[in-house]
Formats: sequence, C-alpha cells, structure tokens
Amino acid sequence: MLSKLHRLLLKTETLLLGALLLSLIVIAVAQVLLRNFFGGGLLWAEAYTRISVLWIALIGAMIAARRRNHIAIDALANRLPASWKQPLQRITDGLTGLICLAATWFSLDFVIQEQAYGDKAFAAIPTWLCEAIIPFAFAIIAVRYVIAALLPDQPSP
Amino acid sequence: VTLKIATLSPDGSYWMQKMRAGGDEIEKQTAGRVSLKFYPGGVMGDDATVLRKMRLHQLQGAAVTSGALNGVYPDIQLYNQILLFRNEQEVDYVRQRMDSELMQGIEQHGLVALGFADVGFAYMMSTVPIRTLADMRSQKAWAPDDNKIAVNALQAFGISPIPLPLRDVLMGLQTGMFNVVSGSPVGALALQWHSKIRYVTDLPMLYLFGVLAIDKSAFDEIAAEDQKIVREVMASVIKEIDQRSRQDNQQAIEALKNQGIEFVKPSPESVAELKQTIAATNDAFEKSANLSPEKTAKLHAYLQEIRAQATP
Amino acid sequence: MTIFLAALLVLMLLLGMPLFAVILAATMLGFYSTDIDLTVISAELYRIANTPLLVALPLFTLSGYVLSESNTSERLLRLTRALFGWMPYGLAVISLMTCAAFTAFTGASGVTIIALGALLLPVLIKEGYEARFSLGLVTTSGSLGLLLPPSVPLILYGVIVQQINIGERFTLPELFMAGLLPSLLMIVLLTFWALWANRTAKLDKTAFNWPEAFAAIKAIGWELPLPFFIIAGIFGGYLAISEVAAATALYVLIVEVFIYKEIRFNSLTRIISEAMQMLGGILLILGVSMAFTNFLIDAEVPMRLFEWVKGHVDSHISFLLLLNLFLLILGAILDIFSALVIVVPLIVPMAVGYGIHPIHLGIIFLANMQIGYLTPPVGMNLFIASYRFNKSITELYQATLPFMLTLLLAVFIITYVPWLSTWFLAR
Ligand code: NA
Ligand code: NA
Repeated sequence: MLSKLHRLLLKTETLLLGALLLSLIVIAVAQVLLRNFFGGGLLWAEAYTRISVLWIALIGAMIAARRRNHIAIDALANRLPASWKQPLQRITDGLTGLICLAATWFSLDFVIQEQAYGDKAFAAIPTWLCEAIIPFAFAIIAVRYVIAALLPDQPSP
Repeated sequence: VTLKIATLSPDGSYWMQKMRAGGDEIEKQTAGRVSLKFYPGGVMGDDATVLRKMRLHQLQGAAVTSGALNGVYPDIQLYNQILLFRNEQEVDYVRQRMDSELMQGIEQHGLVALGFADVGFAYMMSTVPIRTLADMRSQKAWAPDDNKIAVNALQAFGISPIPLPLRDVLMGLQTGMFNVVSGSPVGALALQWHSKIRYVTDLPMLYLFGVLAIDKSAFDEIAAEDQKIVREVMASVIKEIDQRSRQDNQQAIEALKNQGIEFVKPSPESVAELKQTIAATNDAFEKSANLSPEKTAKLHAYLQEIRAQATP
Repeated sequence: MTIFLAALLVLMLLLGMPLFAVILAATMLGFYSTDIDLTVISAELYRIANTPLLVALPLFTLSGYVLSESNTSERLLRLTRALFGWMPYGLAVISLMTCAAFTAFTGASGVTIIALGALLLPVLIKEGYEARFSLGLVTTSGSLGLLLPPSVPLILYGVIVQQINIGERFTLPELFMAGLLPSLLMIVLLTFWALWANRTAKLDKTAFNWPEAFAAIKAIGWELPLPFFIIAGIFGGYLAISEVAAATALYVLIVEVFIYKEIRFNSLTRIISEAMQMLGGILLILGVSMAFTNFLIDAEVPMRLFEWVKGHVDSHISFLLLLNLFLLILGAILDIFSALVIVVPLIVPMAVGYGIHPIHLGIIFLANMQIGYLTPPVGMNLFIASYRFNKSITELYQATLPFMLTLLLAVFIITYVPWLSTWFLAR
C-alpha cells in the first residue's frame, strides 16, 4: 500500500515535470504565432516561462536526488580503498541531507515573509506561490539524501 | 551605522559619482557614525530583487524607479499617469508642492525617501509619423510586460500592445515586430533605439522618476541629529542629479535630431482628442491602483492653477 | 570555527559531496558569519525565475537529448560521407565537422562521443587511419562544438555575466558570433594535425556517388533544416532566443516522435526526466553559486581581489598569461559547468579592469575549458571514451595528447588575437 502510494508520488513528480516543460514549449510557440498572425500576445507569458524554468530546474534536481545523481567531484573518492567507499558515501549523503534541511527551514521562512508582503508574480498568481517550490524541493532532496545515509542498501525514493 | 544601498545605475555614472560624494560627505559630517556603502550596476539584482533584499534586511536602501514601489505605497504612482503633465514647468510646479507629501506618505509605509530624481518624460517613438489618434490606430507598439499603465494606455489608443522584455526591444524594432516604442530620450540612445526609429511624437506621454529609499527600521537606528545630516546631504545630492537629468534629456533630444530623427508635433486639437481618449483609462487607473482620492484631487487642482497662470 | 568549517567543506567536496551542497553550505556559513539573514539565499535562488535568457536552456537541452536518443548521428555521418568522403583525408575532416555540429546541438554533455564517436571510430580505422590517431580524434571531437550556437555552456556564460552586470553589455547572438572564428581556427589546426599525422598512411577513399548523395540527403531531410533554422532564428533577429529554442524543441519532438518514429511515446517521459535532471543539477548549482557570489559581493571580495591582483600583475599580457594558466588548472580539476558558475563571477570584473571585453573573455574561458575535457583528473571526454571504447585512461591520454597540444595552440591564438572573437563589434 505504502509502496504503491510512493510510486504514485514518483509518477506525479515526473508527470509534473513533463507537463511544465511541454507548457513552456507550447506557450513560447503560441506567443510567436499570436504576435505574427494576430498582432498581440499573452501579457503573462514572459513571466510564466521564466518562473516555470525555476520549477523545472528544481523538480529536475529533486528527481536527480532519487539516485543521488548530483554533480560531485569524485576524483579523490575514486582513489580511496573500496571498503571506505560506502561509509564515506553515507557521511557525505547525510551531510547533504542536513544542509538541505537547513535550506528548507530558511526558504520556508522566506516564503512566509513573502506571503505577508503579498505581491503578484503575473496575472492573479501571488509571488510566494511561485517561490514555494524552493523549500518544497529542498525538503524532498533532504529526505532523499537522509534516507540514503540511513538505509544505504535500500533503493532510495 | 552602515547603510548598504543598491542601484541599477552603473559605477562611474554621474548618478554614482554624486551618490558616492554624498556618502563621503555624510561620513565626514557624522564623524564616521553613519557610512554609506554602494552596490552599483545591478550587482544586487533588478528592482524587485533589491526591494526583496531590503525586506530581508540584507540591504538598507535602494535607488529604484518609482513604479517598483507601487506595492509598498500606491500613491507613488500619482505622477505616472498618461498625458498628465504638458511640460517641465508643470512637473516642477506640482513636485514643489507635492513631493514632500509623497515622501511623508511613503515613510508611513516603512521607507524613508531621501529624494526623488527626475528620469524624464517618455515619448512615443516610431517608424511612421504619429500626430493624431487616427495615426495610432492599427499600429503595433512594444509594451513592457510588467507595466499595466503602458498596456492600458496603448489599448485605449487602439494600439496592439506587443509584450517583450526590454532587452529584446531593439530586435523587435529591427524586424518590424512593432513600429512604436516609448521611452525617455536618454534611454532611447542608450538602448540604440535611435538606429531604427524615424519619428518622435513631440508630446510628453508619461513622467518618470526614481526614488532613493532607505528602510525605515534601519534609518531609525541612526541618532536624530545624524538622520538630519543624512537627509540634508542626500536631498542636495539628488537635487543635483535631478537637474542634471533634465540637461541630459535635452542633449539626448538634440542628439536624436542630429541623427535625422524628426520630432512631429500634434496639433492642439489632436492632443485634446488623445487626452479625451485616455481620460477614462486614467480614471480607472486612479481607482484600480488605489490612489488616494484626496491626493489625486490636489494634483489636478495644482495643475489647473498653473495652467490658469500660463494662459492669462 | 569558521575556518574549521570551511576546511571541513573542502574535505567533503573532495570526498564526493554534491557540489551544490558544498556551495550552499559555504554560502550559509558566509552569510551567517556576516550577520545576514539566510533567507537572502532563497531570494538569490528565486533570481533563476528572473532571468529571461535561462528560458532557452531547458528547451535546447531537451532537443539535444531527443536528437541523441534517435538515429540522427547515423544519418549525419552518412550524409557527410556521401558528400565529402571523396576528398583526400575527407573522413578526418568530416569527423571534426560533424562532431562540432553535433556537440553544439547536444549541449556539450558528452553524448557526442557516445553517439557519433562510436560510429566514427571503426570507420576511421577501416579506412586506414592509425588506431591511436583515430581514438584521439573521436575523443577530442566530443567537445569541439563548445563555442558554436546553441551551445549550453555559452548560454550559461551569457547568463552569469548578465547577472553580475559588469563591463560592456552584449547580446547572446553577439556571443554566438564570437565563437565562430575560434571554432573554425580549432577545426583548421586539427585538420593540419590530421594531415601531418597520417602523411604516410594509405587511406581508402569513397568515390562520390550521386544516388547515395541524394539518398543520404533524403534520409536526413527532416533534420537538415535545423541548423539553418537556428542560425537564421538567432542571427536574423526575428525571434527571441527562447522562442528559437521552443520552436526547435517542438520541431525536434514532432520529427523524432511522429515522422522518424525513433522515439517511442513511452520513452519520452524517461528522456525528459533525464534531460531535466541534468538541467536541474546545473541550475541548482547556478542558483546557489549566485547566492555565494552575492555573499562575496556583499563582502566586497571581488573588489579586494582585483586590487590585490592589480598590485601584482601590471600588464594586460601578463594578466592574460596568468588567466590561461589558471583556467587550464581549473579545467583539469573542475567540470565546465561548475567552473563557469564558480569562477566567472570572480574573473569577469577583474578581466574587465584589464580592458578585456567580456565577449572575448567568454571565448577564452570556454576554449580553455574545452581543453579541460581532455585533462586528468577530471576530464569528461576521457571518462566517457574510456567507458565507451573500453580503453584505459592512460591509453586515451596518450592518444589525445597531440590533439590537446594543437588545441592549446588554438587557445593561445584566441587569447592573444582578440579580433578573432570581437571583429564584428563596432569600435
Ligand atoms: Na544517436
Ligand atoms: Na579536466
């Protein structure tokens, strides 16, 4: 049951990413067509595309954390004895998780302050909602790295 | 107390030279109790980011365009109405009487405005001559996509607004994506628009100005007598910048003319027609932008006063 | 305490902690020690959403991934062989040019070696090129299009310089224009090397054959317009770069999914996910580096660093020499994206102070980084080629050495002849 729910979550994450990316393509192309054939355009499109890049990037970073695919310098780690590898990996994973946890904390604080200020990003969408992906992504990345540190042999979520 | 102040203006510009001189003067007069640290050239981000960082207390001050402050204090847009002022004399008359009121207003909203600096009038610039409302119809105009005032005005004039970020405007002109843009003469030169436009409609469309604002809570940490020094020194610095901007725009207009760009003057009848067309939009703007009715009334009263003096 | 923590971070970096986490932690440490609220870091991350140029990045990355997953590389190779295979040393030149084009399109992420190199290597050897030369050629070519549009590192450089907003302003098309001659120079120098290295080899030639030429053109017919469209879109000025990128992505998706039918609809989610994981990784590093840069600017570090360098390096020429040395070392130990986001904000203000145009600097930077793809310990081309061709790093290193030296010569010419990258700018 739990693993089913978990798979559903993973699927949602991937689908949201795909949907955002496709919307980016469609809106940018629509903007070109509207401008050239109808003389005008969607006033919110520019802001939408810029903000969706942030969302796409952070969701991509979340997914990359599933298998801890983030860019790292492993030149030294690769030269160390094989038996050191796993404990070292657990240490760096655990620290990464803690750092992201801290980032979740202050990003949440940031979003709450922005919500109190209450300005609009585009159309009727408040800015804080667009920024909310930042603490959310850090939270997910933190969870994935912490689980990897605690349960190294499990396939990480 | 150190005040960290960010601005988009590049280091070495007249703005920055004067501001730095002001900073040194303040440091001297307060015997080092107050110092100003500047972050020019947009290194701290665009206006929205800079204001955000002021709210997060990384920065204590910023020089931004007035429009960026509308979320803090709606009345700051009082002067930013289409075809409000006819000339610089009207601007001066109104600003002498209303600037301090706006400064007090913004201070109640958590920002200390040390001064307002003229950016100049925005003019319509185009590849075809535009003298009348009829000339405007069916033209395509660039609209800065975050600027409601401009978009509403263009629509009222029957022009299709084409949203595009500022950096792509020259490209839009080159390719005929649109043939009308609006901006100050200095801006048009800096952004190379002058290489593509052929006409400027000699009618001030919109008045633009910048604000040097300091976070109130940071300002309150300064001792009262030092606050006075900061206010006085920066006020005189901004006054100089304010006057220089007018000269710069005059020179820019001459430069545009030397490039062979023609300034076309609409007849009084067509100006009246344009004003009539925009009146409803301006009224709607005063309401939707939350401008104080009392201040709006005052503004219009001052304008009537000076117009009565001007036409004896 | 701060110094201890900073040292710990460096150690963690070397032991394989993700780069974004190291930079993020360093930024937190920096702001914490200067009493600035950490929420500023989030405000800096949000600037990713305030950067119009970035919109092109996910779109070009997607196009590159889709192209590399379909059989574009085979069609491209078939076409160039049919058209130019009759020329003496034709195949070596073809390899250099097709790899440059493919790398530019696929974002210099190493797929060129996997997609094209694996096709080229057996053909080169079969036609009589020496095995070691051939291995060196395909390994080197994997990063050859780095300076050509729409290369992702080039866009990223533009984004970073735009963010720090220093020096003369430039547009992305200008940056792309700047890469043309330097790329050509590299191809020409490498061609000379290819001629010299194989002066005694007996090479097979493919005779020119009209039916095959037509068939090859027909086979690639749907993909052939892409480079022309992108070049016209970017330099013609009819579209914004992000719009060129969106139209390219849409076109590539339609062509590969519905016309060539080489990408199954089901595998599309996987490709999107892989492409955006890479993009997300890069942009997360970019975001936290912007925050770190902001900490440095707040503490006025670049200014002081510049003052220090100015006190020790007196001339333009010696600065450039030092810059090249520094960048070569940097390229040896860092991958290109990390090097870009970490170092560009520091050296741009300095270089501008020495009178170097930011466009020229960008080309110098990336040309040096291109060599970095071939230098141990972190040489992405070496890793990928080793994995793909099952050769040891040492063997690859020996094979690529002459190519690397040739590129080094190109880099020096590019550095000391700014005209190559700035000829089109009005003086
Ligand atoms: Na392929
Ligand atoms: Na390297």
